[in-house]
Amino acid sequence: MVLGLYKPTNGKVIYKGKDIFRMRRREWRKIRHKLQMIYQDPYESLNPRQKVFDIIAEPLRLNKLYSSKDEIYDKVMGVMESVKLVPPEDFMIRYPHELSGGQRQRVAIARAIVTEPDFIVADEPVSMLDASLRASILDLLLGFRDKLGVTYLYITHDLATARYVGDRMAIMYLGQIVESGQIDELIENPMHPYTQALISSIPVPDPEYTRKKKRIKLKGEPPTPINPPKGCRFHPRCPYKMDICEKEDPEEINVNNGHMVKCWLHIKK
Amino acid sequence: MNSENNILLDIRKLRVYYVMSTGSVKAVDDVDLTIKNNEVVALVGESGCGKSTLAYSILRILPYPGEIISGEIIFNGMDLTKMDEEELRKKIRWRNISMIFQGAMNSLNPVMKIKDQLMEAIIYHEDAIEDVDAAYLKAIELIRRVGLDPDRVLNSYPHELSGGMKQRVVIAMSLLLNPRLVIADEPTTALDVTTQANIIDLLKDIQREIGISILLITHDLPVVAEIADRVYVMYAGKIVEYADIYSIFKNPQHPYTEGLINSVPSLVEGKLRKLTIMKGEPPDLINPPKGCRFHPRCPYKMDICEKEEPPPVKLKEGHVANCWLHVKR
Repeated sequence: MVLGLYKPTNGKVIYKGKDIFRMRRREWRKIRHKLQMIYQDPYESLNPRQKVFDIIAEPLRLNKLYSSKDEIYDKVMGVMESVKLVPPEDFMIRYPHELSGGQRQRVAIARAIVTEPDFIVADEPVSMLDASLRASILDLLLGFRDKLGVTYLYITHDLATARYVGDRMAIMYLGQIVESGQIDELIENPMHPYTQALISSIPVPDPEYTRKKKRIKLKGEPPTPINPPKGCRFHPRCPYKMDICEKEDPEEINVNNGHMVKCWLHIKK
Repeated sequence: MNSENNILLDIRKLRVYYVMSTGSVKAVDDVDLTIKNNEVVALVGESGCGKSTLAYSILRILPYPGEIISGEIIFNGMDLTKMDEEELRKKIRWRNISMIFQGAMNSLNPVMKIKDQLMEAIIYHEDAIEDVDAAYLKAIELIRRVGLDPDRVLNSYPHELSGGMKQRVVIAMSLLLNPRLVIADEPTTALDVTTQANIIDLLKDIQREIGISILLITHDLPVVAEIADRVYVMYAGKIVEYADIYSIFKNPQHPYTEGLINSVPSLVEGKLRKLTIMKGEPPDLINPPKGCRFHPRCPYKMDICEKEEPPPVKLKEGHVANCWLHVKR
């Protein structure tokens, strides 16, 4: 939705002061390459019949960002080097099936970064990768933030990774943002019962710690968004449910300096 | 009880290769592993390191062209590598050793009701069961035991259940015939965090309650920290280190184990732990690196590592690492 792939039922997505869903087609085409995406599964997101070079060059060709073949070649080779697909001459002629999962994800990152975007949506970019490869991919992404000033929307269920890459975080439950704010603040001082449960269920690789700690258990599983529960959508699973939670949807309130939470526990009546 | 008699499964010098015209993939190469009664053993490693192949060899359900080349798999005094199909089916599979396959979503039959899938396993092993009705009641009880409502679940098709519910059904199914060992292959991947935690708790409770052994196969170290008693770390077809759970996490002695623990972002009391980046990628198992297989990625590499394979070094009782750093010369 943020990238204009789906149309919203309601509401706006504003990019640099303009609603992307009210732009003219031509105007949209002009800025489209500034918004990019990295998908979760590098085994499904690359065209198996295209060579690595063509996968990365395609956005340049489609958006007509360069006129000459030489320019495209130089750009693609440069980007391949920056994602450490080296030597690029070696990788450019390969097909995705000849690459490992980590290398595939580097191709996907190269394809996103080649158009010099301002904004990238990264949907669980390391969840399909092996443990020993994750850190290097995360650092690659962070490097582009520092060097090229890319802004990321990083989508994940892994709070430890979120903390490693993120500045701010929003917690979503059944189609709504229930809490948001600076990551450190949210993790150290979670105010919404759902966030608290999420944080308490983060698995920790420390047997002594993990066997002592008490976990907040949630009943049941998330209900379907076709008929979300009335009132607060979290109430059927909430350990602190009050009468009002079943009836009215709580307002989002600012509890502390941009730390927003949407829960009746924090609303003074 | 002396520890010798307490061993349920004893894998000795096992080699499993995928034999192909382009060369053999040495997926499991000279592996020793033991599981005691009532014990949760974790086998940890990355995709392609041979851990699932090892699991499939125990049940003898290796996909073609996988083959057990040599070694023994002793279960209860019987060598499973020498058993014929008929015997395996009658004596071993499901009745003594059952498996929770990776990806609950895919291991259930999409066109059969849950009830019928559970009954299939019971009826198939009818000779082991005196009373099919009693078995059905047992299925209902198991469904309840794994935290599901039998009225809701038994008459449903898999697509009507959530991922967490399907995983619970698969766990119930694995327990149908009272096995002594359950092999759980990545039982929590593909589930979301809160569901993951619930499934781990469930496995832990069931294991304690009915006293089975579990071989947990995973790359997810935090899950291991929650549930395992002992850990084997596998890299490129070999066991590189094994120890009790506390030693592995507090005092890892193989550089790969150390790297694996430190390369995943993790939070302890909300604080981010230091992250180290492991260079390179796991090797191809047709032509694994000479000497120690980890040497191309190892931060402490020495000359000998490129030439000779390190021997197992016993660091203390029950803690062994295959690494030249610990060999005194």
